[in-house]
Amino acid sequence: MSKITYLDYNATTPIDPNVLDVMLPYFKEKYANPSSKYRFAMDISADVEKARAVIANCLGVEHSDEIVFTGSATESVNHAIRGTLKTYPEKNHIITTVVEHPAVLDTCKDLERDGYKVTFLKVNNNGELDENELKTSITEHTAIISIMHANNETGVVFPIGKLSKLAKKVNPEVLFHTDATQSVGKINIDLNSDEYKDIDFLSMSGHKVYAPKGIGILFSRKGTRLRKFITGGHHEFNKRAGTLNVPLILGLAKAFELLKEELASGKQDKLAKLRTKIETEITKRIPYININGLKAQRLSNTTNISFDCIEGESILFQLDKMGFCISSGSACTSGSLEPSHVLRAMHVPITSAHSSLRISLGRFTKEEEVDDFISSLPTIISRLREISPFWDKKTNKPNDKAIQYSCQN
Amino acid sequence: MAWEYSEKTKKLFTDAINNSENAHIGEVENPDGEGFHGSLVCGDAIKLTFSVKRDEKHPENDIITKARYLTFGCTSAIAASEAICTIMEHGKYTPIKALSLTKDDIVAFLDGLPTQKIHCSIMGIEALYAAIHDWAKKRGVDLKKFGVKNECVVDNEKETEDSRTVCRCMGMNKKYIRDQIKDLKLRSVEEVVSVIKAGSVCGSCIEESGGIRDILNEVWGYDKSKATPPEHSDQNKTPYQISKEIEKVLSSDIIPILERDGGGLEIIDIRGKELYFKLKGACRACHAANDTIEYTIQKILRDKVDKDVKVINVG
Repeated sequence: MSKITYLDYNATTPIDPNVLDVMLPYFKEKYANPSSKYRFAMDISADVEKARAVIANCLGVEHSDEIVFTGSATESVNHAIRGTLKTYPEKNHIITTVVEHPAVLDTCKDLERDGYKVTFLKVNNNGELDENELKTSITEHTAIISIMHANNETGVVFPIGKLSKLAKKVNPEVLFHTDATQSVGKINIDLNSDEYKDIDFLSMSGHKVYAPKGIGILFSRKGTRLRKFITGGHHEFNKRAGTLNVPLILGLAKAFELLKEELASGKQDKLAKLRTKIETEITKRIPYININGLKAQRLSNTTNISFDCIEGESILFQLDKMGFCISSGSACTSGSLEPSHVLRAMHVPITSAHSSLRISLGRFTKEEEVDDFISSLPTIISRLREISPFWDKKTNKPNDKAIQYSCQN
Repeated sequence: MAWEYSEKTKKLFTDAINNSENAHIGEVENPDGEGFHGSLVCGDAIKLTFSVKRDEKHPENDIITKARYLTFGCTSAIAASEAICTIMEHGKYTPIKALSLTKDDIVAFLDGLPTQKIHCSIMGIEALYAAIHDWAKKRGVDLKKFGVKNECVVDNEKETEDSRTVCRCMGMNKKYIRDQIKDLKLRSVEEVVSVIKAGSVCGSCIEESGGIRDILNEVWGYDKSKATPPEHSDQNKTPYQISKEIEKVLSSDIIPILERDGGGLEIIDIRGKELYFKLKGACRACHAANDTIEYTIQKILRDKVDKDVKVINVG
């Protein structure tokens, strides 16, 4: 393979070599089913429980059986939301936000088709929620509120601690779920702390934290009732059926250990510096751009930039040819042809909604890679703008036709 | 979901980006024909200009000598623009001949396009048609004489049912959408949205009266005008009456549409205002269309029988 510059850590992360080493024996000699009752299996079962305790500890979870292993964050989300609705059949209302990941958004829309009422909370131009809207949306029929911790496209962080407290104040019976897929490992989460103690469920997945794809966890606080979502055997304290994925569970525990060290080492500050470098340099070199979510609190590894008057897919195509792995919130890349629902919700001007790039950094990002990106992008953008019928080459700004459209919207 | 472009598409795009000498980027100064199609809202737009070698006696024999484009859009939109300019310049096309270019010619020239990207080639053709009509006007050529009906999308001097704008975000009129539905054999709202992008921005034109669903019904069946108006909505209809009415509407309005597509519907039960059914044949196999079918059946039954009818697919 030719040179790869990977700047898409919010999509997935490489497996950390230390994680891989921990997993390998469980692919080879330690193959027993941890549910079996002979020594060979019981040792492995003990390893799994140790792993669970490590993860619980990293998240500040008091009882390790509050952590359930699942196949993905998407499964965890489905479990929390659908399980809650099954547990409380007399309630029929869900609250979530318009900027959730499809795991939550599509699940809620599907439930809407089943007759549930769903409130989708809006965001402002910075991507932030209105606490009042949350407060006034809660009713006695609200079963569950699901609000993401950090947004995958813009990195905007929602104050879930505060929001969960607010929700419980209005209706103490309502349950609060957060999709923390993007924030675990980037923000310190202590579920036993005062800030997070009103979070009832938390979902996350392994492959965003240098563990493999195919594993996630669902935290469900002790005392919270939750019907089983995947039925079958009595695995996972009878909370989630299916033979335990031993190697991946052990790998995930190692990944959590590494995350804890990394968080303590100030890695996020280093990433924030690189991110700031990208944003200042791009702003300096390219006119008519917009950094989406800039004014909100954001993850330190993510930036989302729109470029007026050009289309995202053609930028990606050029970047790809040079070996850059970057995502676009644009229409043409995701299979659907619509501009990103997150940017639309944030009222990003239509002149630039079609051309957003999401750059997300991570553990193995080097400063040279960031520099490479900064020096490669301006030429690509200016070439595409020269081709665009909405760009005035002479004055180097959008022409009347483009302005006319941006005013319309 | 990612898709692969043909080598030809990639090369044309790269040539354009690098402004190689084969590329056709830019605008012809004082063009003989100028056309524009698309918008910033939809994410694609092309401005096409060309100049001709004039035939002073017979302007219809003008030959396109130089064609240039400016395109806002994805890789395939830019490649399709290149394709149009290249075909016309190399083939020494007259504008009249260029009118016979179709999206299929563009797709063939590009060695194929992913389905989701077909609209890029359509957009190029629309810009081309607009440019040729502009040329005809400037040169005093009556296109009608050459068998061209003057009903291009750009010609909306008088508002007719055909020229009524359906999708306001994308500026697409009824005739355009209907023709595309027929030509591309688009059978569901989802297909229309993803292939030609009508209704892809705000979506309000999908369900409204005279909107995309109605146009689909007009093309493929379920003619509203034939429908009997809802019978006197008597609050006290008995469950028996409701079930009879549901059956009637199913057999007169719904099952024929499904059968036309090689599918069908089996009634399992009608309890009060709830219809339990199974899809048969082709409909059953097509998971993608299931939601749409359910939605459509429910909508028709609600319009015609009772606003509280609920349909449940148990297949």
